[in-house]
Amino acid sequence: MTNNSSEYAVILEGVTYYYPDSKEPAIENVNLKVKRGEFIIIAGPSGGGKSTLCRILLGLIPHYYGGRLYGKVVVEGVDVVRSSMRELVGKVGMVFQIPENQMVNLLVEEEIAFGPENLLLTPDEINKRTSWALNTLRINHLRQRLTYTLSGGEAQKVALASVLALKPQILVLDEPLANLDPLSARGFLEILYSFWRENNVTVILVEHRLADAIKYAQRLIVLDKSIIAEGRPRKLVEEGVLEKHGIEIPSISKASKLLGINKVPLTISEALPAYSKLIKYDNCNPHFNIERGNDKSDPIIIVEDLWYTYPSGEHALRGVNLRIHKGEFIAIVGANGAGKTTLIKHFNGLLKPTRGRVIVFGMDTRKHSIAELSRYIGIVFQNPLHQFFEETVEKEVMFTVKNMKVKNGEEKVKEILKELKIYHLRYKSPHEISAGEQRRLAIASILVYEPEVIVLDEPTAGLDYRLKHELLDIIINKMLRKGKTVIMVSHDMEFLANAPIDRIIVMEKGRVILSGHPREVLYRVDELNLAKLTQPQIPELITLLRADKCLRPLNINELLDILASR
Amino acid sequence: MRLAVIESIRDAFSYERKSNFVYVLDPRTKILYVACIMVSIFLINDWVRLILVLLAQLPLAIMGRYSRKVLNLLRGLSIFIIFLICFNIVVTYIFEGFRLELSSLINTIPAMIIRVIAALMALSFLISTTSPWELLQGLSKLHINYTYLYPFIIAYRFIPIMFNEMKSIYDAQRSRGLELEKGSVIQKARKLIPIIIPTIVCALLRARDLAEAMEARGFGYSKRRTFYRPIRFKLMDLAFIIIYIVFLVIVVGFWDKIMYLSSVE
Repeated sequence: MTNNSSEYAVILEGVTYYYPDSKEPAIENVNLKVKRGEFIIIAGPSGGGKSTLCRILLGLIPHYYGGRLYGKVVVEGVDVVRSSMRELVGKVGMVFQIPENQMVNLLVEEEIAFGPENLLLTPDEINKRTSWALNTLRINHLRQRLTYTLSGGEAQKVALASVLALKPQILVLDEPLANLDPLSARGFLEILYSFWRENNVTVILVEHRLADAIKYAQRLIVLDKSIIAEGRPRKLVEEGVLEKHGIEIPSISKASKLLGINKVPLTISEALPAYSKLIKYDNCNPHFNIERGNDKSDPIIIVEDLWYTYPSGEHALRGVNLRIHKGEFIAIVGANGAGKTTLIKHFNGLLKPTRGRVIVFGMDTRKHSIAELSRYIGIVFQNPLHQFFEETVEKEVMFTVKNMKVKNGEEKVKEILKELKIYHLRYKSPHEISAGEQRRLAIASILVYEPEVIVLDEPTAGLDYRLKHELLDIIINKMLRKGKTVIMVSHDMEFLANAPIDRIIVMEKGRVILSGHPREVLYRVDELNLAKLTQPQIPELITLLRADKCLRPLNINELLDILASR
Repeated sequence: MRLAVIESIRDAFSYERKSNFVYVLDPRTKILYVACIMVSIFLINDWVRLILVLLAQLPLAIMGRYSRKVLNLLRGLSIFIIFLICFNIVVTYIFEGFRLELSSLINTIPAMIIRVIAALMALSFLISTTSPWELLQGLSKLHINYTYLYPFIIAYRFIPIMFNEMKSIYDAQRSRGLELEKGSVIQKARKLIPIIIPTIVCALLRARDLAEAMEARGFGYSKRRTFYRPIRFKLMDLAFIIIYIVFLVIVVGFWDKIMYLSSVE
């Protein structure tokens, strides 16, 4: 019996949990055993109870949240329900989704010492652990930095270090990649994996962006209220259970399945041997042509030598030139802090140029108010919660209608809520509805007054695979088909590869370093890496096979078409 | 405009890590120093002595390289200071029986301005050369429970983040046609609701995340805590504090005698 219990880091038996005042369980009858030293990934749709599970492992549920918890929870031999938080502290470490929200102190060094200080370790021991944590994650150079000056990727590594300083036996990470740019996300995973390999620690990673993470996992668990599938990642991918439950699998795996390749690869490098037989184009004339967008008509947005300097003296934009034409679908990509959001804030006059000018539908933005410009340019910002304040979904959309003095306002609101499939929620509070519904509501409250140009700032942030599909469908059917111009800020490369984009604009440090059709941009590895971006998987595969001079598929469908036409 | 004020205050009270004599002083020394300066500037009324106190702080400002911050802060707060002066004049005018004597104004107004500058300089010294963590350790060595002090550190860290978030929220609502500039005072106040509510909601979510992260790292595990870099009251601290106390005692307490003696000579 004692042997048996020490074999497992986590034992959950029939666990069901209700948040206080909730009639629906957040998770239901969850049975899960995690072996010591295992590396598992928990995936599942938004609202499937992943964060709840993390809180249970930490003891935050029930000790901090209350509510009703049924079943047996044993973590590192400690019965979570029967014992107090004190017995669990230090055994389980947790890294949260938003790096800045988990940092308490001003200096990186202080932040890492925070946990051990609370546990009354001696200064010598704390310093030893701080140095160890910093060296293990190779971030010793950050030691004396101020926490608010760190980039997202750096901050997330510091958050991990601050947890490691407690020497936990179990590491729980709740979507740690959600706010990182693609290159930082890869870097974070690599460092996590090498830490796990070198130390005897159990890793439980919650993530729905599986493309990069899946290769590290020994076991994959799909949680949607209860565990609906579990097993070795390759097995689950081959059986097709993941797609059935709306979970993204790596494009390369999906393509290989459709092509009937035996032993479905999980990574590009695994896939290379099979594909090098399928795709042989060493010397050839290019088989692709790069489509040119609609640039004959007059541009509707003209950006001329735009400079923008923040009051702090930081140059956010340094000489941006841009022309956007009617009906184009444009993506602006780049690392966090490259100036993407600063640029789009110039389109409706939220920011005025420090130098240069921005002309929107013939109006110089310096001479027109935000309200005037917003009639033509509707911006949907990244965080839907930044705009919700009304009691109901319907009133939330009415707010824009009244401000913009839309004719037949009530009719229009009804129409748009129906189109975006949130009409049945019209009397609910915007805070009660799910993440995907909130995103659609934010879009509805802009679409309702029918601006000519719709700007979406990081619209895929926090959305799972299924919700991203819905979003793409809205962009195509409710915006582009109606002749709207769409500008999307994003660093979700797989999404970009699957969207009918006319032009990708790559920004780095306030400048546009590359602009062109996806077929060109997504194959320019150097510029993408400079902007902290990665290639989507299919272009990466073709580039590694050195076939990119001849063919340039962007996504699975295009790859299959090319292979079928041969 | 309002934002500029906030930014200048934020800048003046932001800690930057530098290696320098003023950065290694014990936080308790610094707290004591600020307390002494504050008490003395309220005990003296003539601008000559206030200037002396101001000058005495200059070496620290130069060594700690925060003089630029003090200037920014003054520029940011200039409207507030002017308002304070006008208020003061009105109050004296009323209490003096609706009479104003130019001679007294000439003495009191410069004195007031110098006092404000001297106070701001002392505060900037403490805050821009001491990390909140050091301050926390200093205060908890004075037997104040650290769990009561952490809220201040958190406020210090999160207020700038929340201001930025409020700016984003303002931008999001302006993009939906909200115009704060138009309308009567009451209408304007009502128009703040679309900004205030999301700000509160987002702050609560942040607070939840932070509380979880702190709880998971053992915050409140014990009533005491250790400190990885223990502060020590050094010889340098003693020298520093003696020099300043002696100086301030002379300026505040024995000034009249010195003046008297020098006039006898």
